[in-house]
Amino acid sequence: MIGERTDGVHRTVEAVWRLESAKIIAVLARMVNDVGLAEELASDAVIAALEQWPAEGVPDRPAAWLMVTAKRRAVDRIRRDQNLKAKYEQVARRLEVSGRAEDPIAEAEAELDDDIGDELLRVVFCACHPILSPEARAALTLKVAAGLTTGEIARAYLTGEATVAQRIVRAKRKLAAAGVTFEAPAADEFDERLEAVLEVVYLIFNEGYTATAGEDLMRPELCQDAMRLAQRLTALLPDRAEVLGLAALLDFQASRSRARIGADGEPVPLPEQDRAKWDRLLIRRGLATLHRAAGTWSGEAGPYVLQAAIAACHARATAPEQTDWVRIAGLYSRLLAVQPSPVVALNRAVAFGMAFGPERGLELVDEIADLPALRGYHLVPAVRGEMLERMGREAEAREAFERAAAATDNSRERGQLLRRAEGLGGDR
Amino acid sequence: MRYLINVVHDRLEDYEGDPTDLHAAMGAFVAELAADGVLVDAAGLEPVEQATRVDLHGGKVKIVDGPFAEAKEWVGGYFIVQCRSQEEAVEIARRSVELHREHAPGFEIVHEVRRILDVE
Repeated sequence: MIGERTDGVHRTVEAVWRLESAKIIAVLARMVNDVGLAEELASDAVIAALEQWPAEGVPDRPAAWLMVTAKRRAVDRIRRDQNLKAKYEQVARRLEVSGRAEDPIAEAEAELDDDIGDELLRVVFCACHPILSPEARAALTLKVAAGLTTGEIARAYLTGEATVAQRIVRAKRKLAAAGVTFEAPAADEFDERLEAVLEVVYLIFNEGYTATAGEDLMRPELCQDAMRLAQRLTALLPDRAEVLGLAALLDFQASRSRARIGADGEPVPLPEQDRAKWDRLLIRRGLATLHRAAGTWSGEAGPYVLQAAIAACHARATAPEQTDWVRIAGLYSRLLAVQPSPVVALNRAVAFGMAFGPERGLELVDEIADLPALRGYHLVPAVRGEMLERMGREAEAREAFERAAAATDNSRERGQLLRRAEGLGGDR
Repeated sequence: MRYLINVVHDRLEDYEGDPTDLHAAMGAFVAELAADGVLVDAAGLEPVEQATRVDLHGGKVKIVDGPFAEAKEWVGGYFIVQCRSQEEAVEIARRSVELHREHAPGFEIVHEVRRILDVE
């Protein structure tokens, strides 16, 4: 029974941590001017909660409790550690004074209720700093801004807890060495740094959406973590079109989660998905967010807004034949102009094939098929196969699907492509 | 995981205090849930007097307009939140209840936390 109770308290600690850790870390980071140290102090407080709450019960104001405890631990730590002592003596004194406040819990609560948007943003910008590797950025962001434990991050990325812990420690060291422990990007580099943040969130989402490792096609929790980060960013930067665009895009993509994998675990292509399984609530939230984005930009829309607009076209169509492919083709042309990537060009070919016939689609695929970036990319032959099949050139379509199957690493996708090839006639 | 939090309470009309503060606090709370990225949807519902019930009893379908004499409490609103665990949804519900305690003393309220099946 005690085990059960401890387990329950453990989950409560996790729940509070998840809801509040970003704010707690942001407030602490403002005090010590260091995101890495703030994260450690907050983690200390969580350990204290895990020790004390099972015996003493969950406090009435759990978040404020964690905050007060983190401050007390901070003082202990600074006093104990000579290196920290030299640097943070004043901070420790300030924290001690605030610890002796008449009602420390009320004070901590006020600190958490303060407008800490700027601090939260700084935390995210530090975690997504360009000097860090993409893996380190994702791990650190999930840790300091999304409230995941190291164990949860490890499970999400199918890797060991020690590996993730190491990754985070190294990332923090790298930030400290570069002196970017709690900086806000300068005005002239803000756009670029924001782009890096959005990219991290999108990569986290995609890691969950199109699992690159393992048998599963999806790790929905990781998608939800990314969506949560994106929503938080829209609250912090409500007039940035691309932030809203990304949040909307993730909602649209996630809205199809239930429909994109069949009962047998196979991926279901968009036109064949059961649209009754699309998540109307996420579509609604996505459309509302995209609508807000439309009110914020002037000039040409950025890549996330355009991708969200494309996804919205699919979301609005209640049946595949109602899809406005002409509009989608136009959006892909605009997307290709602002984000000239081979994958966008390939999707544009698909859209043109749907809007103006498979001959046009095939023509566009063949124009780009030899690009170095697309070499070995299984979707090129898969799209060719699709176009050829619609044109009635079955033998060529079959060959294309077989090539696509041989090029993918995802076993389920391979099976599906092979079945598609088998379903076609044609002499061999 | 997605949870529906049903907010079940007495008739707000019978509440003797001033609900203005509560409405403001709940508005801020919903905005905070959105900013934290957990909110999928939230809404209040019209008073139950305006409701209609379509009942199936003993093989008979009956349509009954409100008010319903026997109903003392009902769902007055809901949240739909996306979180990692039931504990997290419970923590959100607890905070909403705390806000009611603070801003509408004496008002009795229940938050029912229900996991929504099969959204993943």
